[in-house]
Amino acid sequence: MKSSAKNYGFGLLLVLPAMAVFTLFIYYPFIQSLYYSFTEWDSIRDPKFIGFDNYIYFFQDSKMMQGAKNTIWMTLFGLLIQNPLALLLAVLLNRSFRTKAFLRTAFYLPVIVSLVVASVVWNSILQFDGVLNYILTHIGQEQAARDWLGNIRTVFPVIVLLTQWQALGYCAVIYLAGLQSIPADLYEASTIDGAGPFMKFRYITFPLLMPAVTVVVFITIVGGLRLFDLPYVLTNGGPGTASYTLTLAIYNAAFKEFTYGYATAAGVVLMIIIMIVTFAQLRLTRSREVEL
Amino acid sequence: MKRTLSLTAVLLVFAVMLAACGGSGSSGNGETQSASAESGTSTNAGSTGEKNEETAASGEPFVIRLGSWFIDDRQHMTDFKANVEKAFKEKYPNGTIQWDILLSATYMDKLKAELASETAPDVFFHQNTLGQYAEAGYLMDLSGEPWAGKLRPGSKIATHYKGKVYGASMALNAVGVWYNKKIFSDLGLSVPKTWAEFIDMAEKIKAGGITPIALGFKDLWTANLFLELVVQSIGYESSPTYGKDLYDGTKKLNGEEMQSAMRKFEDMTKREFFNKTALSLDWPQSAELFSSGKAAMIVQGPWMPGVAADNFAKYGFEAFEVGYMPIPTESGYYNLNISAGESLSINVNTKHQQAAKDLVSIIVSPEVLGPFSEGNGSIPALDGVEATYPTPALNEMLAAVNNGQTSPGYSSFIPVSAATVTQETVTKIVSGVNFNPNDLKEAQNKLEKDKGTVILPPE
Repeated sequence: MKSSAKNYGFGLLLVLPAMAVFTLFIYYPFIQSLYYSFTEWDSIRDPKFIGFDNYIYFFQDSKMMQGAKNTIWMTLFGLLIQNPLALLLAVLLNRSFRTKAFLRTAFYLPVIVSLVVASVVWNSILQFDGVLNYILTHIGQEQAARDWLGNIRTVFPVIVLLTQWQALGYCAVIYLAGLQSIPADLYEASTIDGAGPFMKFRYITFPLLMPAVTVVVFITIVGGLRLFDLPYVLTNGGPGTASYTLTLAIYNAAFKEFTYGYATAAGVVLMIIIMIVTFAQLRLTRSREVEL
Repeated sequence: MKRTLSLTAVLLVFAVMLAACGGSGSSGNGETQSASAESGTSTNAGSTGEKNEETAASGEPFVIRLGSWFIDDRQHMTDFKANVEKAFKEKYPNGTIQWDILLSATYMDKLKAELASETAPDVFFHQNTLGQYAEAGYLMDLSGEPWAGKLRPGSKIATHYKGKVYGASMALNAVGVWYNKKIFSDLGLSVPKTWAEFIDMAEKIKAGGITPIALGFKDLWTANLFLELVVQSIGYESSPTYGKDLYDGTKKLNGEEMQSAMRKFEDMTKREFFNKTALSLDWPQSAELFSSGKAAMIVQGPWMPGVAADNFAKYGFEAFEVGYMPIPTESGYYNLNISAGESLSINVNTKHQQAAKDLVSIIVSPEVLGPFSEGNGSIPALDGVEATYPTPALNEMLAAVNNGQTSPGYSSFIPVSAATVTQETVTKIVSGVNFNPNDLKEAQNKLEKDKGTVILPPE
């Protein structure tokens, strides 16, 4: 008993430095943020307590709602289109063919390209006198030419496609790693048992790939809910609020409009949404994971 | 056991260090804030400050920091730096100015963090934050300085708070339409006197195969300049206290004045008066479009003629004379917002109080501020400082200011969040979407929600 208490105390001592750092840099600022979310605060003058006003206004704010709508579209697109495409790509890249190494590198390349470089390049492709419209004009499709990032109808779909360009290779690599961890003898045994490609995928590949699915779906959901960088650099949410995402709306509320209290409240709401969604997702996907 | 003891000792030292860091930060901050808030204050030096004052006066070398975001490598800016350094060196041979320059909007965020952590420069430029910083107790009261009584009334919003002077202003600026006189002359056009004439003139420019107005709305602030220019005239024509009326609620941001301005943008968009790249160009690219002669007009601040001259030299464009005009309403009325430019304040916690005051006096002296205003195309914010502008366009701007009406910008009476909604509505319209009056409801909602953040301009 004595020894156990001693071990407990020693363990506590080991945890203390990490706890101190976390308290100082995570828990204390977090609790302070919760307080600020109930205030009107411009980050210069003293905050003024206003109760739940910020939280109530959040659901009436058309900018936040537009950002939330785009964020949901982004996340759904990631789940329903990007995720299966990444899996398909991984399955294809897992086969043996001559240009396998080149293609694997090519699909992963957008991940390592700097965001600033990528946005400058895409901007010059997509603007009104950019490369895309030049090509459209030269193939007789002049009527389709437009400012792709300056048009309220095209701007967000274009941004969604650009995120896929970046995320597809990344997710495919995770799936690829999962595929390569499945023992080949399982496939050999199933072949002897007469299983076809679909049966192999349904009963061997997919169940054993579930840990990778958990990771990719998690990354897709959280990435979708937190999308900020591309719309910020390319359009800053415009034209109007057409390419706002929730995180961009929160950023602008704080750093452009100086309503830090309100932005903090919106950040708390986003945190709760992410927690609920990812908790549900992890429960769902982890329950389907199998171990060898 | 020995190991356990050593480990415990290390952990204890670590914990004490963390506690010490936290303790010193909070107590220091609290004390300084309260002292400055109570006194105002130019006598907040404390023993360290006094010692440093002695250092500055005793001949020992010292460094004074000056923070800014706009002093770049343009000729008039490098001249400005050289003039300031020369005059300061004459006064303080043992003093050196350290220019803390960050050429980006992040300067404002950096400054805010530095002020909160008591590491801000001794003297610093800032914009649109004088009231907030003064209220928070970050600024030294400069009411007793000799130049304080010479500040022009239009600069009050950038210099005064609750009857006291907390900063000097470098400039008074007027936004307007800068136009290519060669294109106007070639097409036989004259400066329009009414909105109908403005539209007619732009139609003729378009018919001549030239884009009437260059926009660079990727930078949202340029949309704000254009919108303010249009609304300022419409609003103040409807009421001489339009800005205050918005604050008081007797006028609304979704009211007839703002709707009328939005319909004008809708009309101009439908008539294809803007470059098709309006939303993907930033401000320098739009200035380049204007300087190249591919667009006949651009809405900008008084720095535009200087930028055009730079572009002629830099890109080899054929030089042309730039002209200035305001945008009139249907009846021919116009009202210009003479906005105060940068504020120059002293950190209440500076260790070099007298040297900082002398540095500000040097900067706003006629010998330094005069040439700066000429190069920058701005109106000096102090009486007794004269500027002779190298380009006629700036004199045209001054004539327009003197001949028309000027009022405080309506946007200084509304929260930034509400102004942002109106700017975003403009970009939406310019993207080709029909104006929907419901879009402006959000602006009015923001005004009502964030009204408490507004510090009204001094009367």
